[in-house]
Amino acid sequence: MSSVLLRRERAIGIALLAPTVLLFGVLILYPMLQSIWLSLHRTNTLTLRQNWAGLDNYADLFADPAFWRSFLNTLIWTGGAMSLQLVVGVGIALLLHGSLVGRALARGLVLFPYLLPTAVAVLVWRWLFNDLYGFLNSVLLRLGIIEHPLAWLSQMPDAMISVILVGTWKFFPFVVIAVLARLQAIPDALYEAARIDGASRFAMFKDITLPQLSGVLSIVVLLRAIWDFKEFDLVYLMTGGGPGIGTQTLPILVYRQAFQMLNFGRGAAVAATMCVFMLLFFAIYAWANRRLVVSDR
Amino acid sequence: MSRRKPLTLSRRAILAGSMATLLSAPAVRAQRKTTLRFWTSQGAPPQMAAWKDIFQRFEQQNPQFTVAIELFSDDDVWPKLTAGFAAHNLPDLVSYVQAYSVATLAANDLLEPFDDVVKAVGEDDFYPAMRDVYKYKGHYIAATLNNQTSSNLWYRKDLLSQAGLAPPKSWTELVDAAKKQTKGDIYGNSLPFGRTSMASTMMVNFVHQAGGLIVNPDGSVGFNSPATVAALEFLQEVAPYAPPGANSYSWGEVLNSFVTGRAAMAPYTGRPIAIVAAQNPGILDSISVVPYPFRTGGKQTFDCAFNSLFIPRGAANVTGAKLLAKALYEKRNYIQFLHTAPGHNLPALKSIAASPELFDLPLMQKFRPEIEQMMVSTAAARNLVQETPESPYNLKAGDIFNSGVLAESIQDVLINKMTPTAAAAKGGDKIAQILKG
Repeated sequence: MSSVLLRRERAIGIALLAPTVLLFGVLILYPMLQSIWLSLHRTNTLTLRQNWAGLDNYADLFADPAFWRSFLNTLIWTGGAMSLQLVVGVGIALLLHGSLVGRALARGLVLFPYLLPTAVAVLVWRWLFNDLYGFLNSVLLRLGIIEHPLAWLSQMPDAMISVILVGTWKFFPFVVIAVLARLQAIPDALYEAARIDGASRFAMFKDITLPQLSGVLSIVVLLRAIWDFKEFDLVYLMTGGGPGIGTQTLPILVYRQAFQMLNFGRGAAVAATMCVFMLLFFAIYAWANRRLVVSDR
Repeated sequence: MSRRKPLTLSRRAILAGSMATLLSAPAVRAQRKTTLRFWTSQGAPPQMAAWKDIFQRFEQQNPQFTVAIELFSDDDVWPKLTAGFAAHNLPDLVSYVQAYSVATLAANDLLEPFDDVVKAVGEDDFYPAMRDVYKYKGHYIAATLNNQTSSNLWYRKDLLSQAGLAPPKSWTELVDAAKKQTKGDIYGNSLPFGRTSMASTMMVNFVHQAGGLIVNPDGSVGFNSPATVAALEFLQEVAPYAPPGANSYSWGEVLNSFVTGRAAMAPYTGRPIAIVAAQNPGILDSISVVPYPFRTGGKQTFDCAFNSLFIPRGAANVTGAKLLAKALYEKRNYIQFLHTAPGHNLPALKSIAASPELFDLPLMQKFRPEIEQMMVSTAAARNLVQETPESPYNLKAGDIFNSGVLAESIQDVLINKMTPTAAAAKGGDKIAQILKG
């Protein structure tokens, strides 16, 4: 009798788990394995004809200086954009958490860049950066700061700096939302006690706000790092990866290999390598984060 | 009971509906029209209006068909086509894909024969270069729908005469004219130095104008040559007189800089005519065009896109697509579409070029000498798929073009400060790899 019950319970358990496993298999595992399988072949994007290549795609990739330059660009873009998003996002969240005239309106408006479609945002920014008619050049020329218009998107390192700044503007609201929500949950009593003890504003920020935010910030860093690392549209639309390959990131390299060079296998190899790099980074990040939490305790 | 009643009614309704559907199916089938899917990159409002007009007439003459227009941009033609081939969900007729991309499709045996269409339109009516660029293994694989060369130099008559100069004919004269016209906020000339399709297109022609080739007729690499070095040296000389952002310029930026009057000279197709008329009519009387200057000791050459019309292998309705293709070459339809971009879209058919109706538009009349000159240049143009009459059909032209190697050689010199000799050698090696791969 008990074994029948056990079998029935096991069957129910399997039935309940099955949809999740099925969805995971179809939506995540299959595409991932398919991508790895593709990367082991020479695959023509047009015809999808395949020849076994073994690790040749990876060997060619690692021997290609353009791959390493793209990898470096991806790190610079991800590191630069994410750091600025954190600084600006936390700063503005603190500002919006305080008493401010028109706070409700400001909280609504701050979301604007995040809600704007990337293509539209890039169009506006490209216009602002335009070498001949751009607002930025026009202002700087009128103020006498520059004598000739600058090519913001056509020379290095200006192009990378411009892309990072636009990326920061576009995505910092995500940090604001997350941090603001957490700020509102910090008990006032903590600040009250600190004030009674004579703590300065900076001390309160360092010893109360920041530790309280550490949990949400670690999630924000993780998510923003993943999203920025694989960001394609903003960088591609801003500079197309140029000048030269100065702002070519790994996702742009995937696109170029798969859809311009019609070499699906090589594109898949770049994508698989990206995945490994990301896993590696996040394993290190999780380990460091855990150590930090343990040492705090 | 009250809960069951609606269910009973619903069953009846479903049964009745099913019966009605089954009974009426043959009639519906008889009335059903076949939709022909037409892909084009030409989706500006005047062009869409012309397509709709043309297709309406086609549908009246061929009531069994309706035509659905699907737009693509030059940048997303490959992702769209590859997805189409992978999903066996293809358009019936594709327009405006350039010759080097058609070569890639031909190399993969992904095109339906197009002989019927070319023969029905009239083989002899096509300009030979525009017809033969799509002749592969004795068959037509596509046809040039219309064409335009960008190997022209647009200039401002007023600025040139202020500088006391005549329109340049050689690279040396062009550099001199660019230098003398660079004043205040006007740049002497605009050129595309970005890793873009315009830079690659121009680079092919610069090498040809210097007397060289990208791929030799025997199939060997021609790029690493003194001609390429000369072309890169010319670009090095002329670059200081281009707008500061030229390192990322492509078609749009080059056109803008000339149309708005910020560049005194620029290479382009005939498009500035309509754009200047619409957006900066104040300079319309001052603009004119000459064939793009070439290297002294080199030769006058022109490069063309040969905007194609083809049927992808696997299209659902090849017969209908061929009917539609033929209709696009009918005089009324053809001229109506050419008029959507006066002076830019030039005819591939001699009979249309000779037709008085072609110039039956005020702008076409005003710029008639310039347009006729561009038609002559376009008729003499070549493309990377067949650089010389002796060259075999280059099935790797698309791979070379899309790899960006041609534009990269410009960027290596202008951005990475490589010597022209080193850049030509690097580009040559990369092309050799592509030809081998």
